Amino acid sequence: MKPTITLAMIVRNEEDNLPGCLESARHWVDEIVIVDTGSGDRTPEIARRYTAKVYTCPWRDDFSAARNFALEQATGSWILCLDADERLDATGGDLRSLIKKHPHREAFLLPLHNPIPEIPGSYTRFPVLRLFRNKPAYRFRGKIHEQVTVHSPGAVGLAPAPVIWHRPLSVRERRRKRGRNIALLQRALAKDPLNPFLLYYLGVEWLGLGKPGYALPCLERAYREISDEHILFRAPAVRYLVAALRGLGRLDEAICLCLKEALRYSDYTDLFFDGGVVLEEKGEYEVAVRWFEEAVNCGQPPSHFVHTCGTDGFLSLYHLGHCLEKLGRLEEAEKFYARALAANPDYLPPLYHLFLLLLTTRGARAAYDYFKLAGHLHQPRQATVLADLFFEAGYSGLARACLKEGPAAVSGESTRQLVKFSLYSGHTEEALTLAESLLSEKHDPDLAVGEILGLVVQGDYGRAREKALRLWQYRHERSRALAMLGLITHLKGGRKTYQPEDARRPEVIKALLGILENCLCHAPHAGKWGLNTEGWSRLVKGITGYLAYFSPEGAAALCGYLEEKAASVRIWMERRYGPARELVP
Amino acid sequence: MRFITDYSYTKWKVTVIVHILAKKANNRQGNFMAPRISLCMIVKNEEKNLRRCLGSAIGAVDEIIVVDTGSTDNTVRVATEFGAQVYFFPWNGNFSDARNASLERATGEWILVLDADEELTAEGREVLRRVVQEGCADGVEGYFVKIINYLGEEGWVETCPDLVFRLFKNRSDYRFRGAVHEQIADVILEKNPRARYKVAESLTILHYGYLEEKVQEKDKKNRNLSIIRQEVEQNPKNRLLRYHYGVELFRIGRHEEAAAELLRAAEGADPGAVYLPKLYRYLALAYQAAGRYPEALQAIQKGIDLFPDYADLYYYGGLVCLQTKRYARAYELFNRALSLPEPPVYYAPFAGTRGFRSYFHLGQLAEAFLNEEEAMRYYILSLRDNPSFTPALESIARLLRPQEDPAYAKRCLETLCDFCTPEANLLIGQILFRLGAFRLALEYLEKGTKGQQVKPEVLLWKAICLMQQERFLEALRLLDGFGPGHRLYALAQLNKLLCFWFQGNRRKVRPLVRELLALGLSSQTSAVIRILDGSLHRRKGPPVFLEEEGMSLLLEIIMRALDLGRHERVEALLECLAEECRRKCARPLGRLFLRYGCLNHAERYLALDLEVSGESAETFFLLGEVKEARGEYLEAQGFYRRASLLEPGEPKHYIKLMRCYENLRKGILQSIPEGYLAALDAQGNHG
Repeated sequence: MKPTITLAMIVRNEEDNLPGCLESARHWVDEIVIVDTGSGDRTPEIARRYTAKVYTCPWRDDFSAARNFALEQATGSWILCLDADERLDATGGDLRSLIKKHPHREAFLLPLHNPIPEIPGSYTRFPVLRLFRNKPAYRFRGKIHEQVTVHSPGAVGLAPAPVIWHRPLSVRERRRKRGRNIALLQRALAKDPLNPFLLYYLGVEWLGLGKPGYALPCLERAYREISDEHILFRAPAVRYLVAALRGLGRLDEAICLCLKEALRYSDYTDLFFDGGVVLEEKGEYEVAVRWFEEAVNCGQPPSHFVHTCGTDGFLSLYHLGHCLEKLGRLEEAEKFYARALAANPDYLPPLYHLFLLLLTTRGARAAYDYFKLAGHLHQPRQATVLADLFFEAGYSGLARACLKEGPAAVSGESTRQLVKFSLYSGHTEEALTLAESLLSEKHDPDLAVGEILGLVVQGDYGRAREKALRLWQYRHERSRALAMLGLITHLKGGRKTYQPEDARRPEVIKALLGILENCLCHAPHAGKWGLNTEGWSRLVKGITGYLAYFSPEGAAALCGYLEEKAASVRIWMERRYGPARELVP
Repeated sequence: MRFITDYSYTKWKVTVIVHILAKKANNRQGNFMAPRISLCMIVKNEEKNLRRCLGSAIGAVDEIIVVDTGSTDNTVRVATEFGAQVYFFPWNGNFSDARNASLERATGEWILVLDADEELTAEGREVLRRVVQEGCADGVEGYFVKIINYLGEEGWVETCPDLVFRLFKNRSDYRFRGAVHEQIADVILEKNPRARYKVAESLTILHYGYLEEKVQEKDKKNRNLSIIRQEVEQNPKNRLLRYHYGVELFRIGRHEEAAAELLRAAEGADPGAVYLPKLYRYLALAYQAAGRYPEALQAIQKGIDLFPDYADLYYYGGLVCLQTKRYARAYELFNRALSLPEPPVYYAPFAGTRGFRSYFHLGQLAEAFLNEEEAMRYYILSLRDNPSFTPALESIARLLRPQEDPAYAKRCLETLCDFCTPEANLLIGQILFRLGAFRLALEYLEKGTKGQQVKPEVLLWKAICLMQQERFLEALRLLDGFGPGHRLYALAQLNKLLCFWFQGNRRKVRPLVRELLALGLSSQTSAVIRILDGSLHRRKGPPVFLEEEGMSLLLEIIMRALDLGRHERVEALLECLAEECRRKCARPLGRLFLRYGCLNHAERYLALDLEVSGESAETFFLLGEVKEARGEYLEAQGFYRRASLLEPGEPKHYIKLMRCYENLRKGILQSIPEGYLAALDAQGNHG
C-alpha cells in the first residue's frame, strides 16, 4: 500500500503565518488536520481554504494534549508535524521518497533551520522528530517542549531533507517567548525537579535572556546527566555550557570543556569553533588559529549534531582572519577575510576588517582597486558599506566611486549618500542636481543643508540664501538655517553680519562646528594640482571667521573645538604607537 | 686607522725580545713541570702582518712553527728573524692539510694556533702559561679563547668579540678537519669523548683581518665557497659546516641562498650549540638583506625565544622594524637591547648594539616623531658611548641647523665635543660641508688644516666654502693651485667656472666652458656645463635633457645658487632644462626651494610633482610645510591629513596635524576682539 501523509498542526492567531506554511507543505502531504486552540482572528477561515479537517479544542496549558488531539483526527499512515511559523523546504528531497527509501523506519528526524538574525545568512540546525508513523503508541508527552518518543532507537532515521525553516524571530518576540517558556518550564520542574531535559531547556532559555549565571547550574546538571544515548541533547548541552562559562568569564574552564569534548566528538565542527572563540577571547591567537582551522577542515558535522551554519565556513574563516591579524600575519589575514566574504557575502564584519587592513597596508587607492577587482562593489550592501567607510576615512572621492561603480546607486538611501559624497569630493554640480531632484520629492533637512553648502562653494550666495530662507520655514531647522544665513551674509559682506545676536546662539554655533568638522575631514583636496579648492577654502574661512569674530561664545567654542581636535590626534597616536608614545613631543 | 702601528722600531725590539726568550727558555729547561707550548701557524705572503703576530707571541711560547704555503715575499725571512722553524707545504686547496703539517712538527704539550693577521694581547701573553698549567692540573683538553675582530666601515673602526678554539693539547690524533673552516674541537671530542673544554676569556687574540677584507679578491672568496660547498654536499648532516657555508654565502651577498642554508642548519640543531645564537643573527641579517622582512622578524623572534639575553637580535629586530616603519615595536626592541647586560662572548656580540648603535637608531625614531629634543638626547648618548661613531656626530650637527645659525650651532658643538685634534676638526668640517653649512665648515676646515699637510679634497672644500660666502677671489686663488695634471683639476675648473657663473661673468665663463668641454668629461657633466653656459645668454638654445647623473650635479649647483641667494641664476638654469627633466625632478626641486624659503617656487614644483607622479604622502607633507611656513594652517592641515591617510603609519603627519590645530587656535586667540578674551578665560579656554 502506498503510504499517505497527514500534516497535523495546532494553531492560534496565526492568520499571518498560516498561508505560507500550508502553501509550502500542501503538495507534499495527502491530508491536512488543523486544530485551533482559540484564535480570535481569521485563522480558522484561512485553514478551511486548505482543508475540511479544521477542529477547535480549548487551550489547557498543555501542548501535548492539543497535539495528540490533532493526531486523533489523522487518517494517513504517516504524520508530519509543523508549526504555523515554519515552512517545509523540499528542495533537497521530499517526504514520500524519504519514506519510500527507508521502508523500515518508524520515524524520522528532520533538520529544523532556525535563522540567526545577528548573522545574516546563518541559522542553527536542530534535528527534530517531526515525521512518524501514525500509531497510537506515538503520542506527545510533556506540557512544553512536547516530544514524541520512539523507543527503539534504530527505528528512527536521520534525514538531511526536507528541511523545516523557522521564521526569523525579532529580538523582542524571542524574549517574550523565552519569558513564557521559563514560566512553563519552572512549573514542570516543580513536579519533576531532576529531569535533565527540562533543566537543559531552562538553561538554554536563561542563556538566551543573557543570564549565564542562572543558566550554568541547569546546564551543568543536564550535561552531567544526559548520556550519549540522547546525543541530540547532549551535544548542544555541551555548546551551551561552553557559552555559559564564557559568558561568566570562566574562560579556562570553557577551554577545558571544549578540549575534553572535542576528544569525544572529533567530527563536531561547532565545538572547534566554540573553542576557537574562547581561545581568541583569551588572546591565545596562535592556538585559536589551529582550532578554527580544524573547524574548517571538519566541514559540516553529521546531521545528529546541532550545528550553526558557518562554523564550518565563513564564521571560522572570519575568526581566522582576525586571529592572524592579531598575530601580525597580515597577508594571510587578508586572504581569510576575503574567503569569509566569498563564502557569505551578507555577513559584513570581515568587510570592515578587510577595509581597515587594506587601508593601512596598501593605502586607500589600492584598497579601492582591490574591492573593485574582487567584485565587492557589485554587491549593493557591500558597496554602500564600503562607500561609508571610505568617506569616514576621508576619501569622499572613493566613496562616491564605490556607489557609482556598482548597481547600488539605484536605491534611495544610497542616492542621498551619493549627494554627500559628491559634494565633499568636489563634484558640486552633480551633488546639486541630485539633491534638487530628491528634494523635489520630499523635504529632507540634511540634503537641504548640503545643497546650500554646494551653492556657497560655487559662490552662488543669492540662491544659497533663498534655500536657507526656505529651510528656515521648518521649525526644527531654524538654527541650522540661521547658521547658514549668518554665514552667507558674512561671506558676502565681510565683517558685517545679518543678525549679530544669532552668532551667540549655541545651536547656531553647534551647527557651524558640525559643518566645519565635515569640511576639515572630507573637503576635497583633489583636482589637478591638489590646490583648486578655493570655494571650500572660502567656506572654511567663512565659518571660522564668523565664529571667531561675531561672538565670544563662538570664539570660545571654536578654540575648544580646535583644542579637542589636537587632543584627539594625540590620543589616537598614543594608542597607535604603544610604548613609543613617549616620543610624541 | 689608529690600529695600525708604526713599525720603524720593530727591528730593534725584536732583537731584545729574542734574547729574553732564549734566557727564559734556558731557565725553564730544568723545570719539567712547566708544559711547553708550540705556536703553530700557516702563512702565505704575510710579511706585513707576521711581525706583529710573532712579536706578540714570542716569549710566551716555547717554539714557533711556521708552515709556508708558497709565499713570494719576505714572509720566510721575517719568520726566521723571530727564530721560527719554517717549513714548506705546497698549497693544495685544503686548509686542514696545511694546518696539520704544522701540528706534525710541534713538540710542545700544548698547541696555540694563530693567524698572521692576529696578535696576542699583552694580557694574553701573561696568562697563557698559567692557563696551560691550570689546564694540565684540571684535565682540560682545550680552550676557547676570546678573539676581538676589528671591522672597518666607512671611516670608523669597531670591534666584534667572539670565542674561538685555539689552544689544545698536542696529541697525534688531534688533527684538523674541513677544507675551508678547518675544525679541531669536534675531532678531539670524537677521539676522546671524555675531553673537557674550558673558556679562557682573559686569553685574548686581536684579529685585524676583516679590516682588509674588502681588499680580498672576489675570486678567492668564490674559490673558498666552492670548496666548502663540496664539503657540505659530502656531509649533508653536518650543521656546523652548513652554518659556515651560509655565512660565506651571506658575506658575498647571496642572501637568499644564505638564508636557505642557515635555516637548514638551524633545523633540529642542539640549542646548546655554540654557533646557534650567531646562526640566528646571520639568518635575520640574510633575510633583511634580501628584503624579506617578515621572515627576518620571524628568525629574530625565534632567536629571542632561545637566547633572550642576546642584544644583537633585539637590535637587528629594531632595525628591521624601523625599516618597515613599525615604530612602536622598533622603539621597544632598541630599548630592550639597551637594557641587556654584557652578553657571553660566544654570542660574538656586535659592538654597540647595547649602546651607541641602539641610541643612534632611537634618535632616528625620535626624529620620525619630529621630536628633535629627544633625538638630540639619543644622538649625544650614542656619541658619548662611542666618540668615533661619526653618524651620531653628523646627526647632532644636522639637528643644530648650522646653516641657519652658525654661531649657535658652533656653541653647541663645542660644548658637546672636544675637537682637539686636527683630524677631529677636519671631520666636523667635512660633516658641516656636507650639510651645506659652508661658513661654519670653513672655520673648522681651517682649524684642521693649520700647519698640516692638506689633502687636495680639503682644499677644494675650502674653496667652495669661500665661494659660498662670496669670497670669490680667495676661492679662485685656492683653485688656481690645482694644475692641469692634478686628478682634481676638472673639478677645480668647474668650480672656477661656477665662481664666475654666480657673478654672471660671461666673458670669464666662456673660455672655462671651452676648456672643460675639451677635457673629455662624461656626457652628463658636459651637458650640465652647456646648461651653465647657455643660462647666461639671453637667447636660450634648445632645452637640454639630463639623465640622473647630470640631474644630481645640477641640483647641487642649484642648491649652491640658492644658498647664495642667486635666484635669477636658478631660474635661468631651469629654463635651459628640458621640460621632461623638470617634471621628473619636481619633488627634489620643490624640496630644495622649500629648504631655502622660496615658497612660491616650492609650491609650484610640488604641485607639478602631484600632477606627474600622482598623490604621494611625501609631496603632500612638503606642501603642508609650504603652507605652514606661510602661516596658512587651515590649508596645511588639509595636506597633512592627506599625507596621513596615504601613509597612516608615519607619526610626523599626526604631529604636524596637532601643531596646525594648535597654531590655528593661537592665531584665533591673537586676532579676536579684546573683549572676547575675558569670556574665553572664563571658560578656561585660553591656554
